[in-house]
Formats: sequence, C-alpha cells, structure tokens
Amino acid sequence: MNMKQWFETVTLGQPGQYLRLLRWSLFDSIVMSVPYGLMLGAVYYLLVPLESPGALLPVRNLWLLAGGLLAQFVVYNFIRQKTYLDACTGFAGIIKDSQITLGEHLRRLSMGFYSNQDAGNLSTVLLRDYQTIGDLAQQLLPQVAVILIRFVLAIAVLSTFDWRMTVSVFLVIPLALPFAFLSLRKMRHISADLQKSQQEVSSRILEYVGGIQTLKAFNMAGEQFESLKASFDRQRSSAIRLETGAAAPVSMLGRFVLNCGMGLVMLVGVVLLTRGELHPFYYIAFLILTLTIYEPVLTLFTFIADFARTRRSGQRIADLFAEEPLAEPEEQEVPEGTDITFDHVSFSYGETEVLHDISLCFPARSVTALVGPSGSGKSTITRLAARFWDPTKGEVRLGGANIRHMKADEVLERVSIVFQDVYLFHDTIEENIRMGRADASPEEIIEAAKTAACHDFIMALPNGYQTIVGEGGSTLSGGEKQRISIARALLKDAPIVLLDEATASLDPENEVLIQQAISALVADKTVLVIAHRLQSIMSADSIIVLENGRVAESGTHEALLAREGLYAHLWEEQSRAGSWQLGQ
Amino acid sequence: MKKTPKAPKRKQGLSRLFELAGGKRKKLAFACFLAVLSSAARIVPFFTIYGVVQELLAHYTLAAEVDGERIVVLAGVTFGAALVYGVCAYFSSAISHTAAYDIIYELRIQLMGKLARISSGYFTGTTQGAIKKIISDDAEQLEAFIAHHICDIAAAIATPVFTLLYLFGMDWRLTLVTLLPICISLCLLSACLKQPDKAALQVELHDSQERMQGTIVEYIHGMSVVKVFNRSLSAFRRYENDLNAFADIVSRTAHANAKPIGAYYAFFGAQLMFLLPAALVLLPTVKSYLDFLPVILLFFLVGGGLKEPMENMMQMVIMSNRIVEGVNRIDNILTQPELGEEGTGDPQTYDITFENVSFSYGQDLQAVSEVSFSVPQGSVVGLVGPSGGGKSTLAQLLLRFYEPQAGSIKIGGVDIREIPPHRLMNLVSCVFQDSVLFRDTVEQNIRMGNTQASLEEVEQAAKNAGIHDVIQALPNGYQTVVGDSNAYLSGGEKQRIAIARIFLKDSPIVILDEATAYADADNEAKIQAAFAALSKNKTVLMIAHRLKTVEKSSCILVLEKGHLVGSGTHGELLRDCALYKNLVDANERRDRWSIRQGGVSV
Repeated sequence: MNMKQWFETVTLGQPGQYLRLLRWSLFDSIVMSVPYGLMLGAVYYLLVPLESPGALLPVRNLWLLAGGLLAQFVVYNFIRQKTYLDACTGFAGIIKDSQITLGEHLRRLSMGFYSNQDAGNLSTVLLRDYQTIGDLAQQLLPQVAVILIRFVLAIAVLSTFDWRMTVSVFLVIPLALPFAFLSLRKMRHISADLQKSQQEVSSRILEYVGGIQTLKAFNMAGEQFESLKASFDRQRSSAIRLETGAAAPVSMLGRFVLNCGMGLVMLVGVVLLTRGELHPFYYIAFLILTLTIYEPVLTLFTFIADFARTRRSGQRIADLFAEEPLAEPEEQEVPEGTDITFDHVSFSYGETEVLHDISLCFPARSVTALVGPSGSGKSTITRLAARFWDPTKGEVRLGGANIRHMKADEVLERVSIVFQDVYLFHDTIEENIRMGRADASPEEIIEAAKTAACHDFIMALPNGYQTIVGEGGSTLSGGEKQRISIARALLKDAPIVLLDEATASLDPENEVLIQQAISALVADKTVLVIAHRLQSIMSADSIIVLENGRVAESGTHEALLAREGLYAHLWEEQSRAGSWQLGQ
Repeated sequence: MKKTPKAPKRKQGLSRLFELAGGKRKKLAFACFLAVLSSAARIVPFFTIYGVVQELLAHYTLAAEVDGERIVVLAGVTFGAALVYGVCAYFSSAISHTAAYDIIYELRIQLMGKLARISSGYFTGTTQGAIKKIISDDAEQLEAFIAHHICDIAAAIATPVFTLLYLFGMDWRLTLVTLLPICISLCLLSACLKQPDKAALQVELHDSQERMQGTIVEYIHGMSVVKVFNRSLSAFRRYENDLNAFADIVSRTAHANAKPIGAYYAFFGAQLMFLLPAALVLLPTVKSYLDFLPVILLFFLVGGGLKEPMENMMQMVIMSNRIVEGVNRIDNILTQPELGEEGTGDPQTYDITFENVSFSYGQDLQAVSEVSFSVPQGSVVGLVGPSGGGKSTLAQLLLRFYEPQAGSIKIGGVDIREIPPHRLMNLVSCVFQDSVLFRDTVEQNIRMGNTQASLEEVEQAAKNAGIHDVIQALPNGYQTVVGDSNAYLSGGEKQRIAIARIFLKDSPIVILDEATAYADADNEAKIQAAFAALSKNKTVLMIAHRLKTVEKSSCILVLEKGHLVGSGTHGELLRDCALYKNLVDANERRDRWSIRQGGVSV
C-alpha cells in the first residue's frame, strides 16, 4: 500500500534507526502520562469524605501523591533531556547518513546524467527535501509515540473501570480517521496542481527578470507582461482551492466527529449512572481523561498538509537513488593506443534519436573537426567518445577496446575536456588549476598557467595564485575562466582532447590568447574539435560535416571544397559574412 | 497601487507585517473574530465537564438524585460547541487564507511593476535566482503570517485570557499557581538563550550550516569537472566532512541546551505538581469542601489544557522572525529609487549627444568616464574596443537602463531624463546580443514590437528579418509556442525573431550589438542582411566585434576601460590611434589562426 512506500521514503531507508528513536519517545510519553495516573489517585482520595460521610480527608496520602509528582518531575527532566538530544542529533544523524549515501551514489552517476540535469534542482533535493522530511519526522514521531502510549494506557486502565464507557471514548476515533485519510487523498490531488502552478510562477519570474531589459525596451515591463500576471493568478486560485476546497471541510468534519466524543461520554455515563451500573468516581475519571486522549489525535489532523508535502520530497529523493550509474564492466578491456572508432552508433535522448547509425574513425594523434549547424549532433559525438552515456546501438571503441567494457573513470582518465561552460570552485586559483593533477608542484602549475596564457592576469590579481575565486568563478571574465580550464587540461596532459572551440562574447585579443593556449594543448594529441569558425579548422587532418545526426560529408578542407557540397556552402557563407560591412 | 516616492518612515518587523495585511483589514478582522469564537468553543467542554462533575459531587452517594436532564443538556452543549468549533475554524481559515493569497498576489504585482521602474543597476548587484526567491518564496511566507498567525494570535491571546479570567473568578490563588510553571519555563528558556556561550554556539551552528550548504551546492555544480579530473573521491570526502562537521555542531549545541530544555519541558507540564500541594494548603481555609472540590477538579482539567495555546504562541514568535527577514528583502526591492517619470520632453530630431558622461556600476571601477560624442541623425557610428571597455554600457545608458552619475545624454537636443520612459523606448530600439524570447507564440513574440500590428505586418517584419520561412516550417507556424519541445530554434534563429520585433517597432534610433560568435555561417549572413535593412534611414549605433563591420561607417568610437581613446574614420584611426591599430592586428591574427598550425605566428 501507499502507506508502506511512504514509510520507507520518510524513514530514508533506515527504519531501524527510527525505531530506536521511537523507543525513547515511547518511554518519554509513558513518564509523561504518570501525572494523569497520580491525578486519578488524588481525585480518588479527595472524594473519600464524600464517599463515606464523616471520613477524614487522607491528607498524608495526598502529600505522598504530591511527592510522586515531584519525583516524576525530576525523572521527566532527565528523560526529556535524552529525548531532546535524540530529536536533535538522532534525526540529524539519519538525514546526514542518507545525504552521504546519496552523495556517494551521485558521484557514481554518469557524466551524461549531469549534462542533462539542472544542478539547481539537484541541490534543492539535497538541501530542501531532506529538511522537509527531517522536520516532519521530528514532529511526527513524538506524536505517534504519545498516541500509542496514551491509547494503550487508557485502554488498560479505563477498561478495568468500565468497558462500555471505554468503548464510547474510543468509538469516535475510527469514525474520525476516515475523514483524515479522505482529506489526505484530496489534498494530494490538489497540491500536485498547486505545485505545478508554483513551478510555473518560478519559471515565469525567471523569464521576466531575465528578459526585463527587453521588456522595458518594448514598453512591456510591469503589468503589461500578462503571462507572469496570469501565472500569479493561477497560483493564487490553486492555493486558495487547496486551503478552502474539499480537503479542508472534510478534515474539519473529522475533527468535529472527534470532538463529539466528549458529549457521547457524558451521555453514556449519565445513563449508566442513573441505572446504578457506574460508580460516580469512574464517571469523573472518564470525564477528566477523555480530552487528553483526543488531543494527540487532533494534532495528527494538523499534519495532513505536511504528509502530502513530505511524500513529494521523499519521492524526489527516491528518484535520485533510482538513477542507475553506467554499468561497470566486471572484466576491463585495456585499450591500446588512442584512436577512437564509432561503429554504427545511434543514440537517443529519451524518445528522440539524435544520432543515426554513425560510423567514424578518429585516428590517434590527429585533429578531427566536427562541423555542422547547431543541433546536428556535434557535441553528442564528443560526449559519447568520453562515455558520458552509452550509445543506444552500435559501439564506441577507444584503442580497440569497447568503452562499454571500460570503467567510466578509466575512459575519463585518458581525456581532457575543454567545453564552453567552465566551472571554477570556491578555492584558490592554484587549487583550481591543480584539479588537473593532484600532485602537481607549484612550479608545474605556474608552467601550465604560462602556457595557457593565464600567468599574467593571475599575477595581476590581489593575491596572485592564492586568490580565491567566487562560487562559480564569478570574479573572472569568461575568457580568463576559459584559459584556466585550459591550464587544468594542460596539467592533466591526457592523450585525447575534446574541444569546443566556441569563443562567445570575447574580444579578439582575448581570443588570440585562447587560440595560443589551445595550440599548446592539442600538440601531439588525438583531438576532436567542435568548430564554429571554419577558418580555424582549415588545417585539420579531417573534417566531418554533420547534418541532422548523420554524416553529410567528410575529408580535408581542400577535398570538401572541391566537392562543392554543404561544407563548401558554409565556407562561402562564412567568408562572405566575415568581410561584411554595414552601410554597403 | 502606486507608491508615493517620499514614503514616510519605513515600518519594520511585526508592524510592517500588519501594515501589509492591512489591505484586507475587514476580512481579517472577521476571520479573527471567527477564530476567537472557535477557540472559545474549544474550551467549552472544560466547563460542561465542570458542570457534570458539580452535579455528580452534589449527589455523590445518591446516584438516583443526579439531575439527568442537566447532564443531557450539558452534553448537548458539548456537541453544539464541537459544531461551532468546526464551522468557525473552517470559515476563519478559509477567509484568512483567501485574504492572504489576495495580499500575496497584489504584492507580487506590485513587485513586478516596481522591477520595471528601477534602474538596471539593481539587477547587476543580485542574481535572477535571488529575485525569484523574493517574489516566489519570501512572498509566499507571508501566507503563514496572514492566514495563520494573525488569527492564531487573536485566538492564542483570547483563549488563555478568557480562560484565566474565568478561572480567576473561580479562585484567584489557584489561577496564579497554574500560571507559575509556565512563567518559570519561559524564564528558563530566555535565560538560556541569552547566555554568551550559547549565543556563540548559535553563531557557529549558523556558519557551519552555511558552509555545508555551500559545499553541497558546489559538490553538485562542480560534479562534471570533478569527474573529468577523476577527483570525485576527494570532493566526496569534503562533502562528507562538512556534513559530519555540521552534524557534530548540531550535537554539541543540543548537548549544551539539553539541561535547560529538559527543565523547560518538565516545568511546562508540571501544573499538577503545583496545583495539588496548593490545593492541600488552601483546603483548611475554605468554607465548604463540597464547593471547593469541583473547583480543584476544574483546575486539574484546565491546567494541562493551557499548555497548548501557550506553546502555539511561542512557536509563532519564532516563526514571525523568519517571516520578517523575508519581508525585509521584499521591502528592499519596493524601496529602490525609481527613475523619474515626470518629464514631458518630445524630441523632434534624432541626433544623439553624449556630454561628459561618467558612470560606474558600484563603488569600484568607472565603467564610463567623461565620454563625449555626437551622432548626427541618419548616420552610422561604430563602437569598438576590448571587452569590458564600456561599449554595451553606453548603449544601456542611452536606453536609460542606468542613470549616469555625471554628464548628460540628449536626443534631438532633449535630455533623456526629460523624456517620458514610454516615449524614449519608442525612439530607441536595441538588438541585444543574447536575445530573449518569451514562452509565448512566435507571433506574440514579434508583436511585442507593436501590439497593434496586423498579422500581415508581423509577417512582413519576419520577412525583413529573414526568418519568415523558418517560422512557416515550424509545426504551428506563427502560433508555435517558443520553448516547446517540438519547436527547436537555434540561437541565430531566435536572434532573427528578435530582429523582426525591431522591424515592427520601427523606431528612428537603433542600437545594434553584433554577436561575436555564431553557431553557423548561414545565420550570420542572414542576420547581417537584416541589420543592413534595419539601419536604413536610421540613426545607428553599432557595437562591433569584427572591426570590418564598421570600417565604412562615418565615425568609429574606440573605447578602452571606459575612456574614449579615439574617434574618426577607419583611415584616421589607423593613423592616429594605437589601440585601434592593435585591434585590427589582433583581428587579423585571430582570423588567420588554425588549430595545429603553430598558433599565432604572423
């Protein structure tokens, strides 16, 4: 049933730990219930003068009970310390353990997984979703313990008083609970709707803020931007529906039923009393205790909304755990050489096939350029070569070995990747370059930086190589970040280089420096380069022209020009564009 | 809706929260009334029980004399109270939630409008994610305050106050005894929080949490880099360490707080421990035991019942602090200075003049300093220079996305500060390097240029931008929604749709920002053709990355580090401006570079 799945997700796969924590919570609520017992005793003694007129009030016994209350107070003090510590450290520990397990799992997922995922969403799971589950568990567990203990104790004690009265106390609980479940069901339905509209609001806000200059330029900013306004409105109505819609009245009905229990106890009591079948002391005992039995159940009703929310958080965590890493071979094939071969490779992202039956060869120590319109499959090919994913059909071989039969790490070890999006860590420049090789000496790092044309700008920074770059490397310009990523790759000195030669929004001087760095990087390597400016790959050993996931043509620059095909057309367009002048 | 610029002293904290809620004052007052009613209904059983107990004690030994009808009436009252509680609680919550979401909606609209009126400088100092968080999450948090807290506060105050008043009437001494443990536990808690070492732990806890969150974010964002360099294990170690460190500090804080917290909870539930001895002490002084006994039992019953609303109230104080932080962030946006809109200038000619314009984004580096130039109507002026030189900033200043700190910018002799923003935007249009398309139909995206345009005009604009054929080939033509999975548009195609907008807008002044790299040559040529068509008979400011593009223009401005270091024709600059000559050389070297051909040898 759903409840079981829910339990598994909420306990984060450590039900044993939870049960251990629950044990102390149970103990806590037993001790917490003691005063009610002592109170019953006190009521009993206080009634003695009424029971048998003329009898004295047993003051000594009552003082003893007061002493019992004091003892309970002292003991509870200590138990509460223990359960408080459990609540803080126990739950934090469970969450931490699960976060660490998930971290280890994430580490083993393929590069392909990361190139498809929004990193922001992933970190939200690790931060927010765990928090949500932790908060609920921390509140819920003691409540469950209180309910269990109160029920057991109450049934045990009260049924010795009078079973008919006991039945009337507990009758309303099974009558009220279905309303809680029904409300939960309805809530789930609506809150999925709410969540969708919340996501819509989020992405619309990002769209609005990201495009605000454009919107301003067209006098469309502010209230004129209807789609954001509409998404606010939709979110408002689904939130109001969640709070006032079917779920809320149903849950209220449940609470109403529960609250009626008190009246029922009164009625049954008075009937039994007048028939002489119930002692007034027992009647009073039921009257005093009934409300304390209902109280934790009522609290449970207030958790209904949280239940729905935690389920989603738990689901997202479970989904991440369900992501399969690439299959690691039991026996490794060892590549000989660094040539790369694509043998009838097809590849699909989800439903759509993006590469169709591609056969290619990238000989060792040669430069092969991939050319073609965006969306033609250039970057998919470079990523398949580094085993970001495994192809849907066919095989990719590295030095004769099918890379499916190599560990992903082994493949990556042989590859340097210089792509457009460069991520720098919140650490010193030196450490960022040292990513390339952990044991590199400071001299080697400086050497790499010099070759990658970074040294000069690094030395101009306030602390040179010890300057800390911001999260995401925000304090360096795009060109500088790109050169640091090349310095990393130089330090790694892998025999295969995958390169995306995009130099977006850089000025010519910066570009010249990057070109210089790339020249150093690719010397004597097996190179796959995604080219944007045809001029820069003119001298490549081989140029592969892709169109819609298929190889349109291939050969050297001269041969392709002579064919007068797609490449020749692109070349001509680019030459024309290159010499274009405004105002001609 | 529009706020007066000279707002009176800013309210903060709780009073600001109430101010925000004030928009729905009547609704909320009614919701509070219902909340009070419902919580009053909730304590009714205490008194009906008291009534039954009284009746029972009066005829304790003679059950037959018990007034059964009175008890049935009391039971009826209990049922009635349950009903009143349910109905009032539901409607109170429904009304207050509706009010809350209305307020949030209006606040969001207000924020959205505000963002449109403030200087773009605000956006450079923050991230899109941060703004999203404010409009989405921080605003959402108000729900807790408006929908729950206001009514809960009313109920949380009303319930104990009514109960205590009633109890006070019953027996003032026992009432004080009931309050005693609650007071003690509150004192304990506040004393505990004030201790310096505890406060220091809180700070440490906070820091460790931030570090852990930073590490988690970096672990995820940097994962692909870490994997490529085979360093995922060491990254994982750091992740593990920071998580452990946080768990450790949580545990240390918990240990430090365990004693006072244990005492706090023990006292909070210790009403009986105080009540019983107090009752015993008072007993010898009472006149009638039979009258006093039900009172004792009532206190036994209610003593525990007071705990919950009190705890609720405490919880709320803590929560409100969190909400206040969010409201401060919201107010931070709402109080940003707006660009003045009072001008009435209406330029009749379209020449542009910059006079000694200086501008800096923050305290540091001047982005533009002391720049003066003029662009005659109908001419093309090129802007060149290394990146970060201030080219785009000049364009943004002309659009009044920022206000210069010194100097003035004029169109047709009128200072742009005197021109109403709407009019200015109709005069100047700009092709941004990274064009933004919105998730709407292609037609609506183009129509942004002129909402009144006919479909024919939209199509004509698309034809001028060389994108009509591409749009026709989309699954739903002009009605295709941009960003849908079945409608892939390349960067260059998006750029051309953005250019079509400008054609439709047809403003007399155009700023063109040439992209440095195109995904493919085909697009590049088409965009160039569109640029050429767009600049006919217009005053054009062309930000050029390829110097060739503006070689022919009547004037080229060379910018470096915010300074205008040269201006003139291509020939003049080659002769007089060293930087320009260097740029031309670098351009040529770059264009000659080919991978594996010895790099940059000339």
